[in-house]
Amino acid sequence: MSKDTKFDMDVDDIAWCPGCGNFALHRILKSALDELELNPREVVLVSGIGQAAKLPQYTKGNMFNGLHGRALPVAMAIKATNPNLKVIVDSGDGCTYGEGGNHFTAQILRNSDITVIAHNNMIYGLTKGQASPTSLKGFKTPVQVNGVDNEPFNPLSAAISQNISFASRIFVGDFEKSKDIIKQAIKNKGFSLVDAFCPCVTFNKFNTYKWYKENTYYLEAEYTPNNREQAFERAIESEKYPLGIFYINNERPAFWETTAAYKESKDPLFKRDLDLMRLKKLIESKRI
Amino acid sequence: MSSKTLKTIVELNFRITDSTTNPIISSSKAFALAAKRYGLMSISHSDFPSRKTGGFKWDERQFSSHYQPRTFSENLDVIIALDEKSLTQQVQRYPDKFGENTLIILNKEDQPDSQFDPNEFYGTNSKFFYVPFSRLAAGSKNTSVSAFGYLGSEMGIPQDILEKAFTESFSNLPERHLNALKKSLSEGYNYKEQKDLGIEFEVDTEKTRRMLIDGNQALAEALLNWEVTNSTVYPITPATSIYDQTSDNLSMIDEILARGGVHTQTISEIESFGIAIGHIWGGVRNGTQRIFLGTSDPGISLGGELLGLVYELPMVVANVMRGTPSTGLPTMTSQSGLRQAISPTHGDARFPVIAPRTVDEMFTAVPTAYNIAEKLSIPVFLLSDRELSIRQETIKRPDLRKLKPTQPPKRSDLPLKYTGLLSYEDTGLPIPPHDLEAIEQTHLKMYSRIDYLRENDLIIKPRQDLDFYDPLPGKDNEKKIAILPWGSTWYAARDAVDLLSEELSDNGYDVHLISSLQVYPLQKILLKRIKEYDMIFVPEVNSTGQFAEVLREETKDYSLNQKVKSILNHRNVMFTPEEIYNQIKGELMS
Repeated sequence: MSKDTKFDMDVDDIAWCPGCGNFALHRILKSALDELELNPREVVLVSGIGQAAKLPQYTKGNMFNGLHGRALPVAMAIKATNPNLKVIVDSGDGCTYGEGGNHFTAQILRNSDITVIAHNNMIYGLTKGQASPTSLKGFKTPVQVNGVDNEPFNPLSAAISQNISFASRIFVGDFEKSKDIIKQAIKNKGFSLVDAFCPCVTFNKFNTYKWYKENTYYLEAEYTPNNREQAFERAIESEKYPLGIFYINNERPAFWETTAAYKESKDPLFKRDLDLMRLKKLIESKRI
Repeated sequence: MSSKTLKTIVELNFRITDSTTNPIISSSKAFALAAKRYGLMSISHSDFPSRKTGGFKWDERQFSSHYQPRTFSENLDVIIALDEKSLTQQVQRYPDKFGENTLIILNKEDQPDSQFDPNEFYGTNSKFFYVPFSRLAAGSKNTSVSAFGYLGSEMGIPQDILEKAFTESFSNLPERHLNALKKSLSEGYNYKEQKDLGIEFEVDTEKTRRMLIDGNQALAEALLNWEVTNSTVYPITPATSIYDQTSDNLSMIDEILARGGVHTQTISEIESFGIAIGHIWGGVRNGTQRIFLGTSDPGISLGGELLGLVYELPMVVANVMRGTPSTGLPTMTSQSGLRQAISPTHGDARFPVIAPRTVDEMFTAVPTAYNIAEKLSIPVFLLSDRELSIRQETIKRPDLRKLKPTQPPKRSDLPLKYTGLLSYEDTGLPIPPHDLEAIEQTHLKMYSRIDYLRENDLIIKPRQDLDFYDPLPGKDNEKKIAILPWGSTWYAARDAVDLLSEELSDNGYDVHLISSLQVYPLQKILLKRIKEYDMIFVPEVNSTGQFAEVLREETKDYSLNQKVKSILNHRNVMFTPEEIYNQIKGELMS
């Protein structure tokens, strides 16, 4: 069970509904950060807009709470500017996969060294219950009165198809296993995705704690997450949804590692002086 | 054919046109480089459907041996048409550019049919010459090179200067192609012996040390000189060439990377603005690191929302204006981005805007923009436009050492009423977490910082030569009128003042040019000057008179409605001095 962590804050006006899956995920994340022996000063939580995106406001550490869907570019640049920071994006399924969908793909391709925790409750909670990109087909809401027509977005298969560095799924009802997976995601160098099944108790009366419990199972102990095709096959299962680490690929360098600025030094940019002599030499070498 | 001098000239207006696949603009740039080294000053503009080959296109240059041209002559002196189709299109689109003294040189063997009258055929009254440029360029795929060889020879540019400039400009070609190019240049050059147009250029031997540079290159070099270290871009014409190549044969990106900075090509302007914010959040701000973002109007529409949420973002955003809506006018020019720059994100936002008027003003505009951005710790818009971006001009080499950043201003120097509660200079991360009250207060204060700029002049090295011009000093007519251009419209307005001055003086008017680098908020000196005039004409390449509106708002004097007259051009081409002249004359004489 969770205990006090360095990342706890004394907040008395949390806006989530009692019983919200976000509380569980919040506890899991704070414990994971604590057990990784990270200091709040070296952690940046970046989020967009949504119920999930409020999480950084309730957590000790640096934070950036930005626009809907636009957390990823900000996070990527924070890491590229100061690689010593642990940068974690924490936002919902609408923000990460819908409005921010093109950033999601771009950052996987770039292999930004950040961890993305997407609260996937299959509903828009902040706007009081419309279909999200991950809502199941046929799911009825006051807007989708005849049920959702679209196929639900599958973040894991999309990510694995683009050769993501780390792809995983958790259910926040399981504290210990979820915490272990998040810890591995944060430790992984490269773009790490944690798709977190995280019930909305107020607006999604279908995908409840019970539903998630009955419709998920853990990947087998002998499953090895280094085969992309196999990972893809497991990611598209929908009769019951597998939980665990689907795929790890550590062969690709992270974005900041390929950036010329860090070839010789890992110092963050703001601590540096310009090396004008080096520039002068380069200019001389290019002159006709 | 004997050599017969048609005219001895100090200024030559030249255009080359083509509707096939010749890279005329690259060749024309190489030619202008040779002309500059020979001692000629020039300006250019061009029209092209794409950056490379194919389709109707032209490049125009105004050369002068005695002074730096600002605008183009009404009539062409020489036009070389590499194919008949492009000549037909030139005559149809630009009939006013063809006068009786215009020499039309068509890429063709001599016309054997003496009955054929090209003027009747093309509908001109100009002089026709035929030169077989394609035959002279046999072996090279670039017919324009023989044409420039011929023109260079006519203008008296030594062959070795020409060859060197073309070899440098096309150095990326394989040797075989480069040799063919040199041969066609030489064939064109020697053709003068067979057919001499008799142009004689009177070249001033006192050569000035100038550099040939376009607006985007000048912007890039100014940014590098001001030690910009991080940039983020989504490619968009006409802003992209900021990143292409500086005069060091390096791209701006090469230099940024060599400085240990970070450059990112993004997937959208939304990502570009997001990354800029991330850089700031990660600690890049005043002092050793600077951020730049270059785009065009549609990119600001797309990414502008992000500017509304930031609390402190000392960066420069350049908008190379091309007009909106996004798909409407891809490579035309415009001055439609002023109101967008002031409020790109929401109605309460107010950002400072500066608009360099000439190519060489980029070198002082960039330091000014960063000076304001760093002092006020907010984004500053630098408005350029498509014409300025591709306008190659021979400018006096700026003294870059004098334009190096010194100790940057600090936001904490500002009076408290402008700063809000936060102060996070010299720290690793900008915002103290969770202090939402502080963030909101800072956010509100951010917009009030414009008032500080109203009261304080932060322009580095004001350009008095651009700010005010009185063509007839000493005259003191009773009625005074001013032309008040902004951005690159300055060039045409400056020449229009010369055209108008004598005539209007005889009718009892003084006419002056007044202008400012900072277009929002307006400086006190400009607001004071405005009061001296009975009538103010504001020429702008947009359809609503955006700067005239700003003028009325900033003076808070609605009697100005009567005094301020907009001269609008929404054809998305630059003004000519004659257009401004005609409109003002029409207004005053009616």
